[in-house]
Amino acid sequence: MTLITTWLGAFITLCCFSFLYKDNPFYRFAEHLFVGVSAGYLFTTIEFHQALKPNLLSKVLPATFGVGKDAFNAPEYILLIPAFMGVLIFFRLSSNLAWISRYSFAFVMGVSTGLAIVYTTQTSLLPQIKKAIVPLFVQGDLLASLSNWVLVIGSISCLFFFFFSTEHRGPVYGTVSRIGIWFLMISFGAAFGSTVMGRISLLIGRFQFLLGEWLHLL
Amino acid sequence: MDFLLKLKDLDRRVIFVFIALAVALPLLFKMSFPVVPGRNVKSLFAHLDKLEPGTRTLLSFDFDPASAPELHPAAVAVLVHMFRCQLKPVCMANWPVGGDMAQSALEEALRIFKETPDEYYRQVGKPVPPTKDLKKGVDYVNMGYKPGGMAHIKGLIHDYLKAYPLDKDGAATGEMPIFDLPNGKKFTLADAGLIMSFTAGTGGIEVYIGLGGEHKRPMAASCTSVNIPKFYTYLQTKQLIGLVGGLPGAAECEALIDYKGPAQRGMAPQSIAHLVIMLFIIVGNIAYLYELSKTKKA
Repeated sequence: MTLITTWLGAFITLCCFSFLYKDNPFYRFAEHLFVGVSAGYLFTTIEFHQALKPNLLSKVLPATFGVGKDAFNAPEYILLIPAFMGVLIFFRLSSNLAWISRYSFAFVMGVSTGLAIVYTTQTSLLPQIKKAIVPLFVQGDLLASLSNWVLVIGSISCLFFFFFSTEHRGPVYGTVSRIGIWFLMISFGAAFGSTVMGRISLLIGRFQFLLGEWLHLL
Repeated sequence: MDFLLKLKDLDRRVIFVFIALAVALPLLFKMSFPVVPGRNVKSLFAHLDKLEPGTRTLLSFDFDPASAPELHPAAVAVLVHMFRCQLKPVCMANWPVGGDMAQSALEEALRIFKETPDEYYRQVGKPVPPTKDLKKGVDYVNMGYKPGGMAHIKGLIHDYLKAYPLDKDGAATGEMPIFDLPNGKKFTLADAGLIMSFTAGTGGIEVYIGLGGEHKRPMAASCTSVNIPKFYTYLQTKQLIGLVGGLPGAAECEALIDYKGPAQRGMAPQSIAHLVIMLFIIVGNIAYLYELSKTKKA
């Protein structure tokens, strides 16, 4: 069985790599296979067995779907409300009745937005502002002082750049926003470098599979 | 010098061949470069070393096979270290196939842990674990995937098992000893000695950081290379105690557990491929400047 899966994996990998030469039927076959298998696997194996069954069916119908002591629990019929809202989403498939699904989407969007505001404030906004307030002169530590200057100048100049109510001109506004562009360029460079590193890592992973597990050359 | 102008129109497939060779040849010739662990990885391992044996840790596998070459080796190394420190990892996933990723990492980590000789523990000054046959539900558990993102994680802070009546394999979690804490209470997110997410994109460690004010647990992340610049900001604010960045970070983890796995073996091709890309960027820029000067002269 391992032999078959390894050969299949190698074949699909080579099909995907063939796109580097040019678009071809092998690549399209691999692409369509991936989409189909992912959708099927996601719904049957994962969503049903890891979400729908333990979190809905085993609680609404514990005698049938419950495992262990949970089989003797009282049914939690209140869960039928979110289940009903979930079913409403399937009305998206009908062009005439698609409006019904909006009630469920409205609920999900409301909850998500509320949580996202708290989450963004707590993860990014407040801690980052707090940590940007740093002493510009650290006694006996030249490197820390320099680092803090870079942090403060970088933060202020980048914020200046994203202030679009005034034209980016003049000795103060123009200069500061230009410094902001330099900081942004450096950060884009860092992001690009990291992206290249990530893509090469993925390529290494595939080569380790092809040369090692498939061809046994490593 | 006109060959420089020809380089500007170089077929991209030639570059692909160079990159393929830069990756394949170091692997075939088993080239290896030294890996020196950085402070972001060391601080994570130092935290794990400080935790009491038996402490439950929460590992969230928020990635899929597309990011596995970068995150899987890191997950294996962290799990091996946890087993060697006699910690009890509770694995879960916010990404649909994360449960399968956790299962694969657990199987490999258990094998490496089992093969660890007693001599290793004497060398690093750790007590030899009482058993090397770790049991599911007692020493580790894989809870699998649950949808819901932040709303789901929020619920786990006060009642972990309500959202997880069954583990990934369908076994009842209420009867698993791993969730019985020494103080007689049931495990919740707020009891974890560390919350760590293997994050490939959204819905990973940032969800736990967002709820940091509620669970108040130390957090760490292992992320893909693409996310490193973004997650560095969380290190600076001390919202994360450690960060394992991409394949190099995973190689540092492997170096710390004294295991030469795929990440350490991948460092030579990684470095050589980077050199080739740098070379192409430099040559491309020289060609561009040469063309510019020629146009100006004309």
